[in-house]
Amino acid sequence: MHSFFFNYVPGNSLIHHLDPRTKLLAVMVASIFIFNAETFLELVTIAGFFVIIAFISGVNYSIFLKSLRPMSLFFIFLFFIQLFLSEGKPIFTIGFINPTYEGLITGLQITTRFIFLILFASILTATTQPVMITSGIERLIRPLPLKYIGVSSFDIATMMSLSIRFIPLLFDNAKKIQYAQMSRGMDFKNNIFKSFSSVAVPLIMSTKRTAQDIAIAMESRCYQGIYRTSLFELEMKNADWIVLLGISIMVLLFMFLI
Amino acid sequence: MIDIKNLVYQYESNSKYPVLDRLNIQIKKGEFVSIVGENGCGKSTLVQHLNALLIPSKGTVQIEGLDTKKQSNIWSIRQKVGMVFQNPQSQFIGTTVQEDVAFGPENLALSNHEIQTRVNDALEQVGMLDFKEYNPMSLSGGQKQCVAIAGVLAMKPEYIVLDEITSMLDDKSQKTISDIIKHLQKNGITIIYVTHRIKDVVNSDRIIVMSKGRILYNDKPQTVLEEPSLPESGIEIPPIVELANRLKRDGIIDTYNNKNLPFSNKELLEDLCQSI
Repeated sequence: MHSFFFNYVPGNSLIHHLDPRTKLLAVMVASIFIFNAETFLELVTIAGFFVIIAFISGVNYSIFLKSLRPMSLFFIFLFFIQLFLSEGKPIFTIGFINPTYEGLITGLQITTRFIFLILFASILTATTQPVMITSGIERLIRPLPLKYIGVSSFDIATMMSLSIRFIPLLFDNAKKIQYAQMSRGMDFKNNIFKSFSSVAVPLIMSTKRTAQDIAIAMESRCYQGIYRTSLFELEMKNADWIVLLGISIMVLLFMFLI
Repeated sequence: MIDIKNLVYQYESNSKYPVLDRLNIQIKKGEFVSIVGENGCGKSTLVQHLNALLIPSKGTVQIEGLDTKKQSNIWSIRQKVGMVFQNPQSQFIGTTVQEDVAFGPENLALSNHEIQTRVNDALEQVGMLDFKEYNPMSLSGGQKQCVAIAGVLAMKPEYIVLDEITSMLDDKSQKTISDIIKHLQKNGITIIYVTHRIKDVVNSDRIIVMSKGRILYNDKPQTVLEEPSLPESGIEIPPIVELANRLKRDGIIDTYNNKNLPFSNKELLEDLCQSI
């Protein structure tokens, strides 16, 4: 059982020791830079930043590349949509298939942006325990007036923790149901549509039941969705303030230069 | 003390047959009480009232004088009465053992230092301290149940309800859990142990036998197990106990060794030798 989305690699690097709030803010700022990058030079600069930060983290580059795998179909889809649906000078024409040079450039730009977005997010997930990420998000959103929409920052943090915990469990359950159906003669290779429902229906039912059980277990352990403390206390250190200062300078420079 | 008076519970208000029917039970502090009965007799429904997860349709449930019907009492009651459920898999919240055990103390808004201390103490009590960085889902069934118990212990409850926690475990894990229960009782925690297997309850101070939402027997294990009509309630009596009962009825055994029913071949043999 493993999670596709959280690939934490224990380590002792500077990036590992940063407060999750610093890393979250850094990823947010990086996302703004990534979506504003238009020229080849800007994208290369971002790639350079990624290589340096990933090197400092001490995490093997293959871990970051692995995080792209679950999204690969999305990247391909994004690229081809731009390639075939953008207007401009055609590369070639076969019937209604009409890829353009402009589409090729836009497709490469947009796909590269998304790839960098995932790569920067994977630095966060590879160097921060899931519980620390949720704690960081909770602390960042705590000052927001969420009570007016009927939720608290603690609710959101708990929902995130539960999602992290349940995603691998869902995959595990789906596999168990698939094996159970196969043992009763279901042909998953030649009967795709029927086999999908044979897994989906029991999976939805079992998930609903598990959700009810977990809600009871949480209530019995005094979960109220109001103020709660955490096993891991977040503390901004000097390194965090220095990183945040660096980010602020970069943002200011970016604003004045553009 | 837990004081249940005329407890009636119906899932729907217009339901003809209540799930629990006029129950009266008192459980003193420090007692080890087992609740037995066949599946569907209302055991789990009863114990969910002790943690205020269910509220009586009629009658009252009081924990240390706190009425479960009062909304303001609910969180104090849930801190006093911890619950461990049958399937540990569906009660884990954390992605590591220590995160899961910390869930309760975090809800009590305790300080970071206090949470750390409680997590370590609770894991040590169930022998799982070395596994605190592990993913709870990667543990064995017995270890998962130990973590679930630690999750409740970290809230420092006065009463612990164990709802069929050994029903999915092998003999070795059952023995581990049984040792933990004895240790908890020694530390003054009141144990309310729900099971459908009579052999699990030999160490309890008292057995409550339930059938169809009612209490059939509420007495010491040896007294209840000597009841000739016990099998009618769907409870399977261990063969060794049945044999001992028959030998006593036929006058072959006069008295039991230590005045307790024999629960093992060795104990029965000792009783027989003494009588002969």
